[in-house]
Amino acid sequence: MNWEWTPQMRQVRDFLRYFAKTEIRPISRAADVAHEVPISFLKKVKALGISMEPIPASVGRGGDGEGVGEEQDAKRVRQTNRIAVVAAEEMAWGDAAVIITLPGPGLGGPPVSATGTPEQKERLFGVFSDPEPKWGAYALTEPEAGSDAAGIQMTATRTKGGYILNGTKTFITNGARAEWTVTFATVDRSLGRRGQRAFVIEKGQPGLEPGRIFDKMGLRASETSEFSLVDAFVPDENLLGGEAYYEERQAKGFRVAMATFDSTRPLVAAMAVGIARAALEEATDRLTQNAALSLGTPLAEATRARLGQMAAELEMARALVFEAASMADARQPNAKVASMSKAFSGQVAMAICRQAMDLVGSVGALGDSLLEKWYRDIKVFDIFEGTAQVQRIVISRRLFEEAGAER
Amino acid sequence: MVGEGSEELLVSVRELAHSLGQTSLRAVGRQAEADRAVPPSLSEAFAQTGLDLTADPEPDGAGLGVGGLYAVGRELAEGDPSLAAALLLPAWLRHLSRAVNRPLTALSLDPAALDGQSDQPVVALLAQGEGSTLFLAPEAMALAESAPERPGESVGLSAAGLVRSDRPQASAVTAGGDAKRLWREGVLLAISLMLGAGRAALNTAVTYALTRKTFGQALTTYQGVAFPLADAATWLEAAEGLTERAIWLHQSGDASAQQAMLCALVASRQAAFKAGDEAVQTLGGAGFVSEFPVEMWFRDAVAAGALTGRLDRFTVLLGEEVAS
Repeated sequence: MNWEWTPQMRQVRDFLRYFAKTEIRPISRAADVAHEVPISFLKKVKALGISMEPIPASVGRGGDGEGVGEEQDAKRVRQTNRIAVVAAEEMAWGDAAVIITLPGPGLGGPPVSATGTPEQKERLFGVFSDPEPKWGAYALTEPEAGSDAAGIQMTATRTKGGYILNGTKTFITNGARAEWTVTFATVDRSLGRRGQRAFVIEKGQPGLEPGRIFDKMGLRASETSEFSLVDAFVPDENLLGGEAYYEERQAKGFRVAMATFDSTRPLVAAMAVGIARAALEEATDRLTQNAALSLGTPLAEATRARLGQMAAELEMARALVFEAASMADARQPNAKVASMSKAFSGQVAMAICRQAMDLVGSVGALGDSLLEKWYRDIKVFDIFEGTAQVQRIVISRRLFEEAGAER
Repeated sequence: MVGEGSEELLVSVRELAHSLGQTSLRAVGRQAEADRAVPPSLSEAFAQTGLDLTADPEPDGAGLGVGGLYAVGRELAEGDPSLAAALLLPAWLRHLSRAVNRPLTALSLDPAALDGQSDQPVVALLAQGEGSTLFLAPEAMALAESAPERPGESVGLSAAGLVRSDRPQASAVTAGGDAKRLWREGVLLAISLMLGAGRAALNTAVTYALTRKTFGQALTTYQGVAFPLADAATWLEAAEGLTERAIWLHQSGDASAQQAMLCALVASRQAAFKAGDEAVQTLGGAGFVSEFPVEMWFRDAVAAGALTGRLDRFTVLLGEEVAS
């Protein structure tokens, strides 16, 4: 484990802490009420080059952990994941919904990096060289396949020059505004995971039918949508990695989908840590101002004990996040710790936000406090990118595998 | 729980409230939250049922007392907590106003209002009309002519009038047995909303878990889903039982009523949160979006709990009660 903070990490932390405080936090409530992030802000961050792009940890830029040969590249990769989680915490401290909306490939980035052909990478990532804000997206979940991602029903039927896709995808972040969306479908349901393929669906795709944009409990400024594909012809050049890729590695489709999470779960966990830190700081500030921490009363003692416990749990969550990111930078398999960071941070952050709202009294429930917003925002961190239950499946499976391997 | 001869009436009232909650309130709950108002047609329909207790010749609603108010509130809240708060607050204020002999327009249940350690505002539930605000704490009470602000954004209970309110002047605070009695009656409003919200969320989650399949099996077959729901159901059952026991002790004039009501409040806050949280978790992404109302009920449960102030205040008080 490398716990060292490099100069670049400190620089990123300091700059984004300032940026979150002066640029993100001031628009947080208004964006939540309006259910959108102001386009002027998005253009500004685009111009500044601020984004939330993780380098896929377990797959690397050369594909599946291979091909990073140059020392210079290796150095860069070795801290990229840690920088990403530092950035995620700082910006989520400002507003998580706002940073999820930052222009860029989003969750669609890792699978393109991991398996895309050179032509696909150039074409798909080239979109973001446009000075205007552009987005990519990732569509795996279906109405009848959430945690059970291996059971997706969207079909891909081979035809001359490509595939015909049919089915519905849901809960897609930035889906309605995306220039392209990495979309998973099955060529043969009986093959299970081996039958899955990743396709790129581009904006304007014939047969693409936009669906609802969801109202949500929290992260309201972030766009979450669904779409259907009806007899949509997707050309061969939009099969991610090309046909040869799947012929060589038949089980790869689902592994592509899951590898994405190994790199993004620590990021999501870091965002939960950022929200929890914001809530803990807000509650502490208010309680200090209200003299609620005065010594001598049972309530003050209870308050101090709770703040102490919240702070300790926050540090534990941050440590797991850092460990998962550090392992990714070191190119070590990190699926177990990535899931631990996600599961623990989601639940600890939720408890901290709930307690922070409670500690300030009844006014914490009103909209003039961001505490109620953070409380609404944080719940989904226990759900998306794999629910708490799914994280436990991953963790326990790895535990049992490790125990079996040691016998 | 209520006087002799009133049991059958209470059962009828409870059934009527349950039916109204599951049909009329449930049907318009989401829209009412968006509008932050009760639809006029619902107010009219509610008045026609007699559940608003305005036509009742008996001061406490057909002699059912605060137990009747709680039962109606609990059942309506299972339909929609926010609308239940809005529809039943006038009846609750009428009940409390008789005790303080003053017309009331708002009710604050945050004890911080009376602790004298801060000038921070608190939250009150505001009804239409003119009158004083009644501030209730487990040890004391106060009346004030403060004018609460109009409703704005809040985490939940948006169809009700959840507003900021200035604190009463310290000189207006009174303590003693009457103050404690009034707190027990006032806090039942919040408890009824929490337990109704928790039950609504849990029932929806259980139904969902029975029908939703993942990895080829119903969700109910997974211990990771079933056990948390079982825990939530157990907590709710216990909290409901504690509340009914506290009402019985209160109406019996028992000396342990205060401790019992503190227990009921602490248990209800935790049970409602647990039920709401597990319900949203069971539904996953569908629970976080507005497709199902569980996320709204979860927020309503938290808002109803927040109305009563910091949880620690009650656990500390409960500890003192137990120690004494």
